[in-house]
Amino acid sequence: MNKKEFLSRLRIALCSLPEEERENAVKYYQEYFDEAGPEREREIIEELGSPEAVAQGILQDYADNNPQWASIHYHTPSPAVEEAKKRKMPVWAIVLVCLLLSPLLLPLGLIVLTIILGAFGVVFGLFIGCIGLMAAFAVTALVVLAAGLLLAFAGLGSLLASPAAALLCMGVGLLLIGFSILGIVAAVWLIVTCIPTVVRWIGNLCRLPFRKGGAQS
Amino acid sequence: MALPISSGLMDAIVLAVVAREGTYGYKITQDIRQVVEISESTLYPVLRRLQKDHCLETYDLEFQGRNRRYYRITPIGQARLSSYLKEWQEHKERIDQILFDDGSAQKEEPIHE
Repeated sequence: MNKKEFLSRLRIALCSLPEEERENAVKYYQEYFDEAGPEREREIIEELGSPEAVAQGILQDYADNNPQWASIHYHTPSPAVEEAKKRKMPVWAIVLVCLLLSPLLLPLGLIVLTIILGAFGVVFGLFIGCIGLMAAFAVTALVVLAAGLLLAFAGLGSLLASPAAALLCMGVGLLLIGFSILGIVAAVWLIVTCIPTVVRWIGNLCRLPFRKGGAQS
Repeated sequence: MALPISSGLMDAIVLAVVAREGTYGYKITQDIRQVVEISESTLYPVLRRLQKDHCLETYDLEFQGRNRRYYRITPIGQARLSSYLKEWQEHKERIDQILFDDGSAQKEEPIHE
């Protein structure tokens, strides 16, 4: 950009000013360049910045002192309003787009919904299965405990009649009791630690779509 | 420390510079920039406003085959400048007092060192 371009752009940017004001401003900067000399022309243009920015300063000052003119010619572009205008599409446009796309959106939406429900179904099923397994485990442990106790006492009973057989019986019985206790402890541990974790996983899964949307905005 | 020049202070500075002698825009800018950093585009709105308020008036002189618009201070401008100078002096004293903890005549107790 050279001096001539700068001044002509400045004049254009000041077009809303009354003619005398505009010419005074352009004349001022014309003289400014003349004083600085051609050697400093580039430097001055860099320093001044864009002619539109210089004009903005002049317009702002004129608006501050001439409210009637300002109400007609000058509207402060507030950065917030500009941002809001740029970012959002007008509501009607969004609705229109949705309507136009609806033949496509509906089946797609249904498919997505089905997949999500299916996923939930699987997860839920697995969860129930796990609980079932644990329940079965616990029950088995109890049954083994019962069997073990029975055997132990039966063996105790016939200790005098046939000691060897009785000892064998009691031994097996105690073993079973031991295993069942281990089993019960394991089952209890599983229930206490795993179930809350699984529940938390499912909770996070459900919250995922909502959290993603929140983070984006 | 960020020390921006308020618009009122800017008015005072420009009036003070012009009061010394009739001068033109480019020179006023350069004179002020010797002392404080202002952008080259700061001055024009100030000059225009002071002119509209009848604190400054302009006259054109030819210089090396081109026109130079000069500014000189008016009596109204002189009066405004005097009041600005007084305000500045008071303001400066108050700030100095709190910054430097100056022992000024206003304090009642003498400071023992």
